[in-house]
Amino acid sequence: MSRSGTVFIASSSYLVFSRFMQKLEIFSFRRFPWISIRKHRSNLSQILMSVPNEENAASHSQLSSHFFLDILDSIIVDVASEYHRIARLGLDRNLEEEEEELKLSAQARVRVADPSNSNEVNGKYVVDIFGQTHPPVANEIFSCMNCGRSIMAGRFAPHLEKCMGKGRKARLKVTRSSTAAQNRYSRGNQVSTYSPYSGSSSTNRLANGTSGVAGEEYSNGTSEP
Amino acid sequence: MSSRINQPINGQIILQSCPHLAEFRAINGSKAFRALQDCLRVKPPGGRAAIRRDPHELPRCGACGDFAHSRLYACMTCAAVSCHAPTGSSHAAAHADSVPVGHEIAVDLDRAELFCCACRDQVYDRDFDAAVVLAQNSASILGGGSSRLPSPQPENLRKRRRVDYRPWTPDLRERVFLGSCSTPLDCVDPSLDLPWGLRGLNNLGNTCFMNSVLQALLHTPPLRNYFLSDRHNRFFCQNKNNGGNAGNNKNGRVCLACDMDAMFSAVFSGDRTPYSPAKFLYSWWQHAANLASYEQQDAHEFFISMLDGIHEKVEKNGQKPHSQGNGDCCIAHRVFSGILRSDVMCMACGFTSTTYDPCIDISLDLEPNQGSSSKAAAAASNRSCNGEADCKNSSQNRGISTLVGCLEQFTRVERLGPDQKFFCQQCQVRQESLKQMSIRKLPLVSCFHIKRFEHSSSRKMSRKVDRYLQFPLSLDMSPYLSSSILRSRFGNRIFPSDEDELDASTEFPSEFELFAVVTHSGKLDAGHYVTYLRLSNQWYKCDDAWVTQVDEDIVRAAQGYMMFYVQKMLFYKATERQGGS
Ligand SMILES: [Zn+2]
Ligand SMILES: [Zn+2]
Ligand SMILES: [Zn+2]
Ligand SMILES: [Zn+2]
Ligand SMILES: [Zn+2]
Ligand SMILES: [Zn+2]
Ligand SMILES: [Zn+2]
Repeated sequence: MSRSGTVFIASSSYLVFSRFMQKLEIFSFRRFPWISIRKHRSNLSQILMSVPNEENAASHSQLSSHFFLDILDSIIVDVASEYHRIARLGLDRNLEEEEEELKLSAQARVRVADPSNSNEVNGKYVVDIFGQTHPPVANEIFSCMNCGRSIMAGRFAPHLEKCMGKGRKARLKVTRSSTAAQNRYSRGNQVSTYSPYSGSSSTNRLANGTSGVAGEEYSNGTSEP
Repeated sequence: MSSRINQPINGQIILQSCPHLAEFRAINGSKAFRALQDCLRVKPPGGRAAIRRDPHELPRCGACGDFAHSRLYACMTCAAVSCHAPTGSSHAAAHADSVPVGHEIAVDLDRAELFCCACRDQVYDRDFDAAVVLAQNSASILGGGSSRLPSPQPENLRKRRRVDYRPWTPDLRERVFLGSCSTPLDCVDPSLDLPWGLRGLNNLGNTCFMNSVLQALLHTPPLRNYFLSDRHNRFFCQNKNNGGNAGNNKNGRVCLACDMDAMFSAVFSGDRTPYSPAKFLYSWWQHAANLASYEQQDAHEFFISMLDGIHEKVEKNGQKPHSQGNGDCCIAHRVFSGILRSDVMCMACGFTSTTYDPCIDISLDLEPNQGSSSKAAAAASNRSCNGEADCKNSSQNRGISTLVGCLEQFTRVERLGPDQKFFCQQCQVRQESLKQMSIRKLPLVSCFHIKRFEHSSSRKMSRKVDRYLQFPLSLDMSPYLSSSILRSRFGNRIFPSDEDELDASTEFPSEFELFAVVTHSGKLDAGHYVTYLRLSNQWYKCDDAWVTQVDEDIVRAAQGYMMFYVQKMLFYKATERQGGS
């Protein structure tokens, strides 16, 4: 139950102790976010301050005062009690499963890093699972929905871009969701929220699309290999 | 740990108490705990509860007089205070022994936890916990907060939160209609025992950002079932909206759901030659007219904008404005939208304000770089609170980032420092505060987007973070649910508080299975997107036109950019259905 506690008492060095304190605070803060153990912390930091530096850690006899041990003991019991509750109520996450997943992923990375295990020949495919092979540029021919010209699949997007008048420089990245929402979540984790009246479909949808610009460059789009 | 006795079943905690506690309850009922109410002291608002008869009491062991002892217990029957040590003498145990029966249960004075002196173990009781939470609550109310636990709910959240997932079967009229407009599918070559709907997508010229997302969506179980059961019939939709003049692509109004419908038909037709999603690209571009040119397209942006497109079209047809979060909206939102809860607590008065926001995915930061550089660590700890250091220790003990670690970080308490003070309604001024996110409602399908692309507007540059992020194939979301987060905030006391929150966690299973991973390889501007799909528990790599079978290892080792998880129940339903075309 109080695993960490017993381990800790055995090694009473100052360094281990301060690291333990950090850990302790972290844990409590995470599990009991609204609860602070600041009361203990302020007492402890006073004691710790009185220890000049790490070299002096050997003289930890002064740390082993009654006062110190009492507070320490109390904190250990706190943590033990918290974890006991979590474990007994079955609120602990399924750590075994998480560990297992981590292990599998670590093994997978090792195996994948070994080049002899690669299925692909130099990163190129030979056939797909249906036994088909595909050209580097898709050569299906269909007609452009915008202008009606025949176009090869692999060249469709660049054609359409011009055909619809979508200039390279034309649009500012208005809807970059990442930047738009950045300020909402100060931690930087953001969520793509949306509103029912989202402005991302603009009214100038085809304003300069079909007619004018289209003619400019797509003459070479039609029968390109 | 011998402890998994009280497994929560479907989010409900089942308690088994020791015979002594059971006995105590049988004799005293729950009244005994209520009597404690007056002795519960909660020091900082929202803080830990302790037991003191009067606030300045200094309790000491009745047997030895020790008061500095960290474990002092008061007998629940006679209120005698005794000390206890796990090894050696225990005056608490001695007290229980000194009388024939009925003095086994005591309460930990500093921690307000029940202790059985006979079993020498901490024990748990619902009514006792309820009393403690009540005390914690009223303490924070005394501190000034008015509403603390029962938080305001969005209006229609209470009633119909559930996304009905009922199978659709055509009625007679619809069957006639179906018969007149469709031809039965030709049987797919039976020798190929490959999952239905597996089909490459032609690259239309740097459109792997689109193909990768489409592949994931084509195999999103609830989306697939929706379209394959003809819930959005493109002919019907176009007809209805053009007053009969359908058929003509050019004049037909843009409806991304119609294009999805067409694509589903094509991909699930049994044809295995690569499909060109040209019409879809065309329609999406019309919808997203203000997006950057396709060369700079990002798969995640595409995902967001196309779901938005589906939403908008369907909404225009729609009758009343829907609330997207509650599952009543368009198919895109019914599948992907969840609700986030955000609590901000004023650090001065304890007042908590809660807001709810719908979300269609969760964007997660790759955690700040791990330990190696002390500079980075210093910068991080400068920035703020204890919490900052947390993520480094918790999830990066192995030196790799994990999705679970990112989620922990996402739901961690964050301190809003002096530079981002929050206006407190109670104090009527800006105060430093604590903020915590949690998931109020899980979607049917959770999409996690890992922020690998960093855009710095100040330095006018972008860069890609190539770090590996471990993600599990099975993911339990329950630790990030509002119900769990709230409970942990009250010291994990079992309390029937906000039933709505509990409801949410039981109603929506929190177990998810991974079914698609969109990866990005290469540089920021010259990269390539590939999707891994998990169908019938086999992984397939969809690299534009190329569909190949891959080992699970390849997927686990891949550099995930977007991870799609579906509720486990639906995942298994989906796998059962596979193959039986
Ligand atoms: Zn054209
Ligand atoms: Zn004693
Ligand atoms: Zn007694
Ligand atoms: Zn007992
Ligand atoms: Zn439609
Ligand atoms: Zn919607
Ligand atoms: Zn306040």
